[in-house]
Amino acid sequence: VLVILLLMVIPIINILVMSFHVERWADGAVERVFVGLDNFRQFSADPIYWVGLRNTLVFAAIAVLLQLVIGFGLALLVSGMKRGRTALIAILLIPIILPPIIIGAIWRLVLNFDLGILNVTLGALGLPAVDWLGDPRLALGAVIAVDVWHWTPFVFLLLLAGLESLPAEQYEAAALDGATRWQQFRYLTVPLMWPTIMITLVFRIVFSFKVFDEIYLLTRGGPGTSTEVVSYTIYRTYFAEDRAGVGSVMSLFTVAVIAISAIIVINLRRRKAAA
Amino acid sequence: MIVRTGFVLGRITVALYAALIILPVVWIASTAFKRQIDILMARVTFKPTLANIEKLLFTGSPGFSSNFWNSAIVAIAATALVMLICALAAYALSAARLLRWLGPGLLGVCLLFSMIPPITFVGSWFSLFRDVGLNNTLTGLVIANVAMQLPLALWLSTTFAREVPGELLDAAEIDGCSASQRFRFVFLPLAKNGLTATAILVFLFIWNDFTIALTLSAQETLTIPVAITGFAQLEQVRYAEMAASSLLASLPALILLVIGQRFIVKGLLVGALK
Repeated sequence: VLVILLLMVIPIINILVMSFHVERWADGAVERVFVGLDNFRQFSADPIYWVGLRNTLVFAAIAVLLQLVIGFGLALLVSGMKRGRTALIAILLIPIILPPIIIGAIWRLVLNFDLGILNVTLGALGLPAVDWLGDPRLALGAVIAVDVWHWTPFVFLLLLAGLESLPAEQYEAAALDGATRWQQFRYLTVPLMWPTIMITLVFRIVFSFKVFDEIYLLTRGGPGTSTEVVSYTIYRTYFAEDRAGVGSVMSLFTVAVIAISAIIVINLRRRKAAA
Repeated sequence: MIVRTGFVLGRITVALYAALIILPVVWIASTAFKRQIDILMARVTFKPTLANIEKLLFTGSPGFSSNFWNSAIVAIAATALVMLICALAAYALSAARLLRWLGPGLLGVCLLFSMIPPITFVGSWFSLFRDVGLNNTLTGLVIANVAMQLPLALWLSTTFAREVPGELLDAAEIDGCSASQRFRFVFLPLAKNGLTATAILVFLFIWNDFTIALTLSAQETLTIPVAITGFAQLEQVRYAEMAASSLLASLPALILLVIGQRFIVKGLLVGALK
């Protein structure tokens, strides 16, 4: 356990230290120079990071909301079904367990302007081809759609498991008392499912900050900065621009943003539970 | 009657959704067997060819097969290490009855770390590993992957370990079993299912890892996911190779899905809900 803690803690300390330093190459060796708050100044003036943060927030909000709505709807549909369920779950697990980089490859192929099956189908229907990943106005939407495709099955599985652990007696009692299906849904299902929904939300919001592989393969943040997300900005700052110090500050700030969003959602859950 | 129609409509919706999920996957899998001309014309029907996969496996240097071995070695070694630590840690915690009050704190820390994007770590690791000469070595990749997956794995395995009744361990102790015997003959059989589920998920996550491999490896230690991006440069995409390598890279996941679906579901649900 100690070893683990070391492996987790050392990088954090290292990040903290580096955020006050600049790394320079001198005679083939790395030299660390203390620069105080200079990295923080560069960071707050970095135009791309803030665009990336905004994109990430938009991405997380829209994608997670869609996943929740679609996943919940499907879970409600499936919760009464018995036949074919193992096959269904097997199919839905596929996007979850495939390497994310392959999800990217799949959609590169499907969304391609010239030879993607989507545009070819549109063409066959007499509709104009759309440059899904190349048009700055569409690219973020396309990436969101891919994420919804990728993670809705996960949301669905969580919510389905939640639905099936609900007590049947309460529904029988409600039906006896003459509650309509909508009333049952509104006053039984939603409140009982609230904790599950919130946990799913926390998971998906936090994990959508992690999105990197798919973006790397699909758009590399482009065109322009239309699909720039924080992970990609950090990656580029650190590894392409060799600004390790600024990259460290970005990392720290991003972790803080994630922690804050998680805390906000968890508090929402508490408040609802208290009410 | 209305209920029946509703039911049928529901089934159709679910079936359509399943099709929506599976079709893109089928599309890339079929592309792996297409000739270049079929890919460029986006043909749905085509004469299958094994040329892409053969070319991928048997030509080129450093070659896809070496990427495959790199991935396999890293994934197997790192999973083995993670599981070794997890099994012992889970046993220690449940045997010492520490889980109840140490549990929440420890698991909270684990959860917190599993939420941090890997990209925020790799920069730091890159600098550290450079100083000790671990960059671009398989050992470095294994260490980084172990560190990345341990929090989640610990969380999963301790959650599963909680299902093992402590009374049984006490009983075994009274009967004169040594600590290692208790671990080997009482704890492991009881926790087997949970640990299998953990191991499968950890293996998949490490196999799928891209961020760590991208930043800490170079030519000789390249793993599959990074190799795939090599086929998909922005200017020119080699679709046949990209599809064929994606198909091969998916094989472990698909095999595990066939033989271990119930473990995967269990692991995912426990990981998220408890």
